[in-house]
Amino acid sequence: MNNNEKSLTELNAELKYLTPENVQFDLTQGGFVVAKLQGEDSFKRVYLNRIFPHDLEEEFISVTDADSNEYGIIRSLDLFDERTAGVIRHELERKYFSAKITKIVSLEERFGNSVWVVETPQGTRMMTLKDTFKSIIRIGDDRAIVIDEDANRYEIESLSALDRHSFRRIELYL
Amino acid sequence: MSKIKNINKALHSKRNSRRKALHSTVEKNLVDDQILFKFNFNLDSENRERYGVVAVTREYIFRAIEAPDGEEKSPAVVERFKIADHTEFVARRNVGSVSLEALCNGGDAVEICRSDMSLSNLIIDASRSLNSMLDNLNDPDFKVVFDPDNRVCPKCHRPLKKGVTSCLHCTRTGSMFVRLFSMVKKELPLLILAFLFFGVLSFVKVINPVLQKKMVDEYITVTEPKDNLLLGLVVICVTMFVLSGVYKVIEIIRTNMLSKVNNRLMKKLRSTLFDKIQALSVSAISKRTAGELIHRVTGDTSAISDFFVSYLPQFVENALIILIIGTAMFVYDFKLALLVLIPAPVIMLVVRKAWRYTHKLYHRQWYMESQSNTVLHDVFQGIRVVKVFGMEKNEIKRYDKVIKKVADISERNEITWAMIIPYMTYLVGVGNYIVLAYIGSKILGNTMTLGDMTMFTFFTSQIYTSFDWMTKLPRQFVRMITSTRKIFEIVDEEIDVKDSPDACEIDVQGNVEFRNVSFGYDEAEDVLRHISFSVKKGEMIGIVGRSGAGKSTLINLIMRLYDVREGEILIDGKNVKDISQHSLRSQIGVVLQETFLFSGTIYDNLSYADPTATREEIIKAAKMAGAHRFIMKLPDGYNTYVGERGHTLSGGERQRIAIARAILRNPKILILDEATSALDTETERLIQDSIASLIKDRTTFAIAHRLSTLRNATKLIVIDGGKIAECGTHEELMKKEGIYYGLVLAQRKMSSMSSKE
Repeated sequence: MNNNEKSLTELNAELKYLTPENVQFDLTQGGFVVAKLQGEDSFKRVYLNRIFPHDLEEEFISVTDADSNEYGIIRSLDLFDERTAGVIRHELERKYFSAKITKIVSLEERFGNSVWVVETPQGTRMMTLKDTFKSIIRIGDDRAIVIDEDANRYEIESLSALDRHSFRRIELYL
Repeated sequence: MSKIKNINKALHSKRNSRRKALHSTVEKNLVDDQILFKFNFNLDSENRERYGVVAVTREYIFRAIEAPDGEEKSPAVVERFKIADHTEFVARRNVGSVSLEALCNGGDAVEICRSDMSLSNLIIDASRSLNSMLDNLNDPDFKVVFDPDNRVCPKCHRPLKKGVTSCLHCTRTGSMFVRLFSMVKKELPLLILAFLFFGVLSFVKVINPVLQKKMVDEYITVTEPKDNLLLGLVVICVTMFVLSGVYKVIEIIRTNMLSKVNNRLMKKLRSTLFDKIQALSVSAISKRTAGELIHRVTGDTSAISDFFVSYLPQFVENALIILIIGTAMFVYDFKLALLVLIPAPVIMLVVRKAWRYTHKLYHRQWYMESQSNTVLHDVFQGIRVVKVFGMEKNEIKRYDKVIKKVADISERNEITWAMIIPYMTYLVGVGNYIVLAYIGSKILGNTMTLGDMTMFTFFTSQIYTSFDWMTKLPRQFVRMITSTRKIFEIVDEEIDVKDSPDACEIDVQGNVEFRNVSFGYDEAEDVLRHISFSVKKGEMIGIVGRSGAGKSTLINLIMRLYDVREGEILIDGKNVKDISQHSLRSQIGVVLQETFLFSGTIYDNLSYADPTATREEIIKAAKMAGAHRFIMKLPDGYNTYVGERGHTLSGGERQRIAIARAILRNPKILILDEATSALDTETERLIQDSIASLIKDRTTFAIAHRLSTLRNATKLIVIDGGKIAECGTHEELMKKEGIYYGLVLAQRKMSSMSSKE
C-alpha cells in the first residue's frame, strides 16, 4: 500500500456511514423524516442534505440535527430497502426544489438584466436574472441550473433536448 | 417587451383570481374571528404549485389551499391550527423554497405552508409574528406586528426588491434619458454649442460637392472659351481651401469643447456614484462584488459620457447630413432623390439585422475571452498553491481547454464576419450604382452634366454612410441606457443604515447597553437572538464563543455597521440610531483580526486614524504598539511604502500598525476582535502591556480565541447559538463549569499537548 492509499483509508475511517444496520428511518404523520440511531431507543427528527447536490442526488446524503450537527452520511440510497429509500427520496425532493424548464418562450435583455418566460410542467413562469452569465450554472455538457434574482431555481435537464428556438435563445449565454 | 408584458399581465390576473377565491373561502370559515394578518403561499408540501392563503387570528391559524388538481373551480381545502398548541414557529429555508413549520413539545411538527423564494419574506415575517404571539399568549392587549417588505410595482404588480425604488420592468427609457439630461444640465449650454458646430460642419460637408459640381460644369468641362476662366477656377479652389480650413478650425474647437464636457460629466457622474456608495451600509455594499462596483464607477460612467460627447453629437451631425442632403437632392432632382432614399430603409434594416447578429457573436466571444482571463487570474493569484500541489500540468490542460474554446468561437466568428461584412459593404454601396446608372442615362440624354454626377455620387455615398452610422446608434444607445439604469439603481437605493433627521453628535462616555437585540444578516436566520446586557464606562468585556457563534456580529452592531432587527442598543442611554454615525464611529477604536493597509506609506497608514496627529504623536503611538522597532529596521522607516504594490508586512506587523492606529484615535470605546491572534506568543507578550495601557479607562469589547488574554476582563459574555449562554467573571464562570469552563479546559489540554511536542 502506498502512502496515498494509506492516507485515503485513514480519511475514510473518519466518515460515519449510516447503513440499514445502524439506523432506521421513518416518516411522521406530519410528513417529516425521523431516525433511530444505533444505541438509541427513540426516533428523532433528522434533516437531510445532499453533499453533492448537482451530480449525486442519491449518494452521499448528510444526516444532521436542526443545528447541522452531523449524525452520519448515507453512502447510497441503494443500500436501503425500497420503503426507506422512498422515505429519504421523498424528503430530499421536498428539500431541493427546482422547476424543470421544458421550453424558453422568450428571453429579452433589459438594462443589463434578462427577463425570461419559460414553460415548466407546472405552467408558464416568468423570471428575471440579474447577471445572466453568472446565473446559469453548467453541470457537465448538457445540464444547467438557472437561478433567478429571488434565488428560485430552475433546471434544464438536457440542453440538447430543447427545441431549436429555445436553444438559440439560451445558446449565447452558455 | 410587449410580449413579456402581456404574459405578465395574464399570469398576474390568473394568480389574482385564484387568490381572491381562496381569500373569500378562508374568510367564510372564520365566522367571528378577526384576522390579525394574512399572507399568500404558492406551493404545497410536495413542492407542487398550489396557491394558498394563511390567515392568523388571535387563537388560530387558518390555511386554505387549492385542491390538489390545481383547478380554479375546485373547492379549496381549509384547515386550522391552534397557536397555543405549538412551541415555536420556524421558517425553514430549503433549496429553492421556504416552509413554515409549527413545532410542538414532544409531538409531531406540522408544516403550515410553503412557497418558492419569491414569497419567502412573507413566510419569514410570519414566523416571527407568530413567535411573538406565542411569547405573549397571556397578554390580551398584545398587538402583533406583521409588516413584511411586500411592496409591489403599482404598474406591473411584480414585487420590488429590498432597497429598490423603481421597477426594472416599468422603467421607461425616455424618463431615464430625461433624468440623465437633468443631471448634466450644467453642461447643456456647452453641449448645445457643440451640437451647433456639428451643424455647421454638416453644412460645410454639403457645400463642398456643390462647389465641385460648379468647378466641373463651369470651368473644367466647358467647351466654349470664357472670360476669367482661370480666375473663377482659382476663386472656387480658394473657397474650397478656406472652407476646409474653417472645417478643421471648427473641428478643433468642437473637440476641445467636447473633451471639456466629457471631463466634467465624468467627474460629476463618478462623484455622485462614489458619494452614494460611501453612504450605503456594509450590507448593501456587500451585495455587490468590489469588481462590480468598480465597473459601475468607471465603465458605466464612461459609457454614459461617451454617448453624450461622442455618439449624440455624431447623431446630430449625421441626422443633419441626411436632412440637408435629402432636401438638396429633392430640390435638384426628386426622381433621383426617391431612387436613393426609397431603398435606403430596406438596406439599413438588413444591415442592422446583420449587425445585431454579429453583435451576438461578438458578445459570446467576449464572454469566452473573459472566462479565459479568469482562469489566468486564478492561476497567477494562486501560483503557490499550484506549485505546492504540483498541479502545473492540470492547469496547462485547463487553460488549453478554455483557449481552445476561445479559438473555436473566434474562428467561427471570423468566418461569419468574412461572409457578412462584404455583403454589408456591398449593400451600402448599392445606392451608388443605382445613381450612376440613372445619371449616366441622363448625361447621355444631355439632361444632366458631369458636375451633377460628381455631386450626386458624393451625396449618395455620404447619405448612405450616415444611414450606416445610424444603424449602429441603437446598440450604443442600449449600452448607455443599461449603464444609466445600473447607476440609477445604486443612486436610488434606499439607505438602510441612515442617520435619523434629529441624529445628534454626542460625547461618548462609554456606557453600553443591549436591550433584547436580535439580528441576522440573512432575513431567514437570526445570528443573535434576544441579547441583553449592560456595560459601564471603563469596563472590559470579553466575548467568548465558538466560531460562528455571533461574536463579531455583536461588535458590528455596536459600531452600527448594521441595524438591529429587533430591540435597541444604547450608548450612554441614547439609542445608537439617534446618534450621528460619524460622531459614534469617530469615538470607537477598532483592531480587527485582519488589518487592511491602504496603498501609501506607513506614516500615511498611521495618520489615517487621526489626520491631525503630529509626527511625534505618531511615533509615540507606534512605540506604544510595539511597531516602532520593526518600522525602524526598514530602510525607508516611516516612509516605507506599503499596500498593494509596496513592502509586504507580516500579519503581526500589520496588527501592530492597527493597534497604533487605535491608540492614535484615543477612543472612548475600544473593540479588539482577535487583535493579537496573528502574533506569536512572544510578540503578544511584548505588546500585552501596550494593550493594557490602551484599554485603561476605556470601555473595551474584546474577542480572543486565546482565553488567557481575557482573564482580566470585568465580565465575560459567552455566546452560544446566538444567545447569551453565560455571563460573569472568569472565576464565576469557572465555578459554574459550563461552556466557558469547557472551552478553557480544552484550550489548556491543547497547549499542554503542544508543549509536550
